[in-house]
Amino acid sequence: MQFPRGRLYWMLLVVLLVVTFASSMSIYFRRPYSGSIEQSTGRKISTLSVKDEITGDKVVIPSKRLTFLFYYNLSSPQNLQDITYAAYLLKTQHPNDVGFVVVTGGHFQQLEQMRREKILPFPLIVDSSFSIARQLTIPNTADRSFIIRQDGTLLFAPQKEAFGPEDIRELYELYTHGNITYASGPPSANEIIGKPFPNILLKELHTNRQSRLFDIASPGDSQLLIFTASCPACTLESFLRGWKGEFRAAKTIPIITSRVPEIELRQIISNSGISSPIYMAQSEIQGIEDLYFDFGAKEGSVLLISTNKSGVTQRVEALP
Amino acid sequence: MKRAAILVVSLVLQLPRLATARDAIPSATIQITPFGAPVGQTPLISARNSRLYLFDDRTNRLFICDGSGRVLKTTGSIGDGPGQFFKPSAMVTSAHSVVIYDRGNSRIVVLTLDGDFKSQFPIKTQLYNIAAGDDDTIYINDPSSGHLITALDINGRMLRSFGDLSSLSVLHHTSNQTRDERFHLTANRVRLAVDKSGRIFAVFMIAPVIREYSRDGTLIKEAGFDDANAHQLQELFWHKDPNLPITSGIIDGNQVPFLVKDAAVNPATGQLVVLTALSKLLIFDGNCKEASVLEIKGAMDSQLWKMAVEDRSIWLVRVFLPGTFHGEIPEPQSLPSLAAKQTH
Repeated sequence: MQFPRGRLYWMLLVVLLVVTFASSMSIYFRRPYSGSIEQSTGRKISTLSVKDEITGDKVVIPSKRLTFLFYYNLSSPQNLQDITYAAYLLKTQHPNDVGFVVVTGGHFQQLEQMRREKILPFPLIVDSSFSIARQLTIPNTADRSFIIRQDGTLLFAPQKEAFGPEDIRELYELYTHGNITYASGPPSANEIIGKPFPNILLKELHTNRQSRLFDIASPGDSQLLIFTASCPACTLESFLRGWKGEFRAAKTIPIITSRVPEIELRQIISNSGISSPIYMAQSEIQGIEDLYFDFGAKEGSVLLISTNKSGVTQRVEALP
Repeated sequence: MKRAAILVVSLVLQLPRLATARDAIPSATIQITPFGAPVGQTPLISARNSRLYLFDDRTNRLFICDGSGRVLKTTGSIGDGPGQFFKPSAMVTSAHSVVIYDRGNSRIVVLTLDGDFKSQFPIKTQLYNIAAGDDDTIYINDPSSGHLITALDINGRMLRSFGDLSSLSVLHHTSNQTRDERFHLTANRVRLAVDKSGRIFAVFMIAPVIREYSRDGTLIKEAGFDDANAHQLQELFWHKDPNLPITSGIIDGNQVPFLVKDAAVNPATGQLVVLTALSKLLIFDGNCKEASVLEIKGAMDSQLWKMAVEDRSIWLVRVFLPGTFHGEIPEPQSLPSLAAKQTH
C-alpha cells in the first residue's frame, strides 16, 4: 500500500509544529521570571516539591506551621549574613514548627559550600527551572523573602527587599510568641563598663586552634577589637586592609563577631593578605554585639574595648 | 545725552561690584554635635511643630520626640497591615500629616501628626523622594511618567502631573549628549520640598539646578546654584577632583555621586534648605537665590544624608556609620554681611 504523498507532508508538518511548540514551551518555562510582582500577603501558593541541592533530600514547601523562605537571585555578602543569622536562630531556638529554606536562582558557590559543611542547617534549593520564581513572582533582578503558613497562605510577602537579621528576629518572635520585644531605649556602652568581659571561646582562623579569650589575652595590657557592623561581611575587608595586620603591635586582639559567615570571613582574610592571628567568636558575645545597634552603630562599626588586669571592661571606644 | 552718558558710566562702574556681590554670599560654619536620638539608626527624619519625627528603618518604628529627643510616642512595626512598615525610604511632614514611602511594601502611608493611621495607597514605581503640601497634596518624582512631578491626594488619586524632563547634557551645560539616553531617568531625579504657600521646589540630585513651581504646576523659575558651589559640585560629578568626598549610589541603574542629598523647607522661615555633597547647607531666599551658605563641621560630614529643619534647629542623619546630629542655624544678622564680604 502506498502512502499518499500529500498526507505524509501534512503529518510531517504537524510533527514539526508539535516539536517546535514543545521546545519553545520548554525554553519559555526555563527562562528566569521577568514579569511583575503579583504574589502578595494573603495569597495562597500550591505546595512545592523540590530537592535539596546538596543532600538530595526531598523538600516539601510548606511542610511546617511556618516556613521562612528566602529567594536570592543575587549573590551578596549581605545575603550570606542574613542566612547566617537565620541559621543562628534555628540553632539557638530549636523551633519544631518553624522551617527555613533558601532558594537561589542559580548556583551560589558559597551558599552551597555552607550547606555542604552543614553551616547551613536547612535546605538549599537551586531553582534551575525558575519554577519557584514564577510561582512566587520573583523578578530575576530581585531578592524576596516570604513567611508561608502550612496551608500555603503567604503570611508576609513584602514586594521589595529581603529579610535582614533584625527582620528575621522580629518576625520569628511575632509569629511564634505573638509579640516583638525591642531593646528598651537607647542602650549605652556605659552599661558594659565596669562589668567583666565574657571569657568567650575563640577560634584562630589560620590555625583553627580554639582557646578562651583570656588564655591568649593578658588582661590589662591588651585591648579587644570587636567588629560589630550591621553587615560585617560587607565592610570587613576594607577595615582589615586598613590595619594591615598591625594588631599585635597595638596589643589588640581582633575578634570578629560570630555573625559573619566563616566561609566569607576566610575569603576576606585571604584577600586582605593578613598573616597575624585573627579570631572569630564561637558564639554571640553577650552584651557586646547588640552595641552595634546603639553605640557602635552611631559612632563606628568597630568597637575597641579595654579591660583591666581582672578582665573588667574599662573603656569602650568606637572606631570609624 | 549727558544723562544717558552718566547712566552708562554708572552701569560700567557697578559691574565689578555686582560680580563681587554674587561671589560673596554670606557664609558661616555650623558645628554639629551628636544628638541623643532614641534609636540607634534613624535614616528618616522630619521636624514639625517643635516635634521631631524619627523613623528607625531597622525596627520599622516611628518615634515622635520633642526637640531634646525625649520620646513622646512610638508607633509602627514590621508588616504590611495598616500602620505597619517594611524598610521605608522616605518620610516628610506637612501641617496635618506624616507621609512615609513604605518602600518594601511598595506603597505610601499617611499618618496624622500624632502617628495615627490615615490612609495608604500602592505605588508601583521606584521613588527616591516625596514631599507634602500643607493642603495634604503629596508630590512624587516619577520621571518614567514623562513629567518631573506628579501630585496625588492622600488616597493616591492623581491630581496633576507637571514639569518638563531635562537631560544630563542640559543640566551640566555640556554639548556631549552621548550619556543623555542612559541617564534619562537618573538625571531627572529630584529632591522635592513644598513651602507654606504651596510652591514646589525641585532640586536635581545630580546637578546643581533648582526649579520652582506654583501649586498648579506652572514653572516659576529654573536657576543654578551660586557659581562657586555649582562649579565644585560639577567637578565632583565628573570626578575632576579626586580629593572631593563622594557619597555615591545607584539611581535607576547608574552609579552616580549624589550632589544634592536632601532638601527641605524650614516651616518657621519658609526658606528652602539644601544639603549638598560638599557638607554644605545652602539656604535659598524666596527668589530661589542662595541667601547663605553654611559649612558643616562635625564627624564624617561627607556621610550626612538626611536632614530635618525647623526654625534655628537642624538635625542631620549620617549613613554608613549611622548617627544623628544637631546644629544651630546662625541668626542671619550674625552672618558676615554682604558689604563686609565685599570689602574682604
